[in-house]
Amino acid sequence: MTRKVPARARSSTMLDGTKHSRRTILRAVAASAAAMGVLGSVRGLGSSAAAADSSPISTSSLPVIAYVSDARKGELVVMVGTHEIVRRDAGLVARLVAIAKEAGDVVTS
Amino acid sequence: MSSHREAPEISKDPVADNTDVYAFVDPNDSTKVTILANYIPFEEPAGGPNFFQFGDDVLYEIKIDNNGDARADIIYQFRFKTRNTNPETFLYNTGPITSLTGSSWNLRQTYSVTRVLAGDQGDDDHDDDENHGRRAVLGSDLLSPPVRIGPRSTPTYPALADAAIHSLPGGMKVFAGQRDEGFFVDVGSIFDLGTLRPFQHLHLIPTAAALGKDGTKGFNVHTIALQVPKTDLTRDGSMPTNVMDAKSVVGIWATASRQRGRMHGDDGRSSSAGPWVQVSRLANPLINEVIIPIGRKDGWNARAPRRDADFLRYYSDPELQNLLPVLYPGVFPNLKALVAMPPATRPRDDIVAILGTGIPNGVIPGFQNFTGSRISDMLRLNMAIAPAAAPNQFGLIGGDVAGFPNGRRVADNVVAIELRVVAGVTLPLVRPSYTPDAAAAVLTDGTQNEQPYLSAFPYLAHPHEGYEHEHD
Repeated sequence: MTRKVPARARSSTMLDGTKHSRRTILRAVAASAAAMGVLGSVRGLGSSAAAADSSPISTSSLPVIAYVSDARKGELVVMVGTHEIVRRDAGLVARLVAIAKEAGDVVTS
Repeated sequence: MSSHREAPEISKDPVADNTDVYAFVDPNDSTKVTILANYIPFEEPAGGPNFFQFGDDVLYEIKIDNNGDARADIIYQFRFKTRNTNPETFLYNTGPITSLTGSSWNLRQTYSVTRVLAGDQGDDDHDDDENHGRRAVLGSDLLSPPVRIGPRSTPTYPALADAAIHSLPGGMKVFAGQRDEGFFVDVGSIFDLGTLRPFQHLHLIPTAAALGKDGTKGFNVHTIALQVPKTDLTRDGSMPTNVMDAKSVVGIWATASRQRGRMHGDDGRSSSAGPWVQVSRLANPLINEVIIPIGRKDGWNARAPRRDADFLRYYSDPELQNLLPVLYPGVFPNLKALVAMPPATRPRDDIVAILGTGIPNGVIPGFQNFTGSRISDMLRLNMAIAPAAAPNQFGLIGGDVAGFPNGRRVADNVVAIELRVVAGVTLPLVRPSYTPDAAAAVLTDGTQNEQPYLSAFPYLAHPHEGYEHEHD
């Protein structure tokens, strides 16, 4: 079930901020390309996004995990601490999907 | 099993696997309720060097609904932290552990207890979110006892474990640590095509009569035990005294949650991020085990009780009641005739009431534990009912209103009770024309717990030691 993301959550600058967080997101997504295969199956986005409003947190010492929840809608979920935020950023999602396709072409042994 | 490895996903995650929930008016202090939430099924006591422990990355919760809407009004949260005092040894302990602060104990856990008063959430989906409601940390850095290893490592175990019973503000007590698995069941027999006693010789594939074997004998479990004043649990802070008053009844369940995201690093460590996602829950014994079909068990574990409505048909027409006449030809003739009728004409409203809504006023004289018509899996306890002077392990069907399904005491024989209920002994409560089969009233799996329960909090017996224990 997808719920409306509160405006306050949508206006967060988390994804638009530092180079550090962008790199972290890309690394996490590359490491979990399989997660992109379950697009649109995320549950409880609304409640969790609301939770992200409740207390500002520092991301400096916490792992950040992100995944594309719905590529068609350009929807991305970023998780840090016990919070998550849902963002729509079609450009970023398109680049992540492109990277995931590259990852899918990589043969490891 | 009550809820041990009962669903495909959680069977692969034992640290987060709810196994049993007990809730009863404390027999030593009837102004309080004791709630036990067990996790980690089939703990082999000799499980060294990394003995069983709670998960630092799991959110354990006990939830209380006190106004009949199947939402958590009060949540007790438990978070654990493991400390390794000497990373240069492979040993759990480097000498006898004779105190909770002893230096020879290498791998120890502490925990915090937080109470969340959920209040009026408004949105139907927010009541399980730790970020909503009024939060109060009731205790922190509380010590769990070590596991019970053997006569050299844990020579004074009962005293050691008793020292890990902590008092919390407001007259509460808490304990979190290893216990004997107090649930008893002949799991090997039941899951061999429903082999039940005393009818083994009458099974479709008959075998000679044999005594029951407690499949959990010699195994341990991890218990979170909480003793709470009744006045903390009622919706208005009152002391429940009137059995027929809806305010006297609370619904109780326990859950385990993990963060949504987890990454495994190349250094062997892992890290998590994201909101808590429920991966296991439990209230009444054997619901997800026996009532819910395998294709829906994982989904059931992730769901809040208030969303149980679409599981109603599994309560109304449980698979096991249809199997009994087939597996035991001629033993359950009345049940056979019943299930031959179209399901819509023979709903098991007795099972729906006992396990899904609570028993309403007027069904059993002087008793009710009804929480409303919304079906939800909660262990319903009428706190106005005093502890029994002489408990009957068959609880309500044995004439003892202080026992299961009015809450659940550690010694209640829930397997036999539920077998008899499913076989039809309680159907006349809602279908007076039905006569239960004689066999239904004697159905059992033939087991008892292998050691006595404690007479005081936390009631479940001290764990088996790794050095010496047996399973047969």
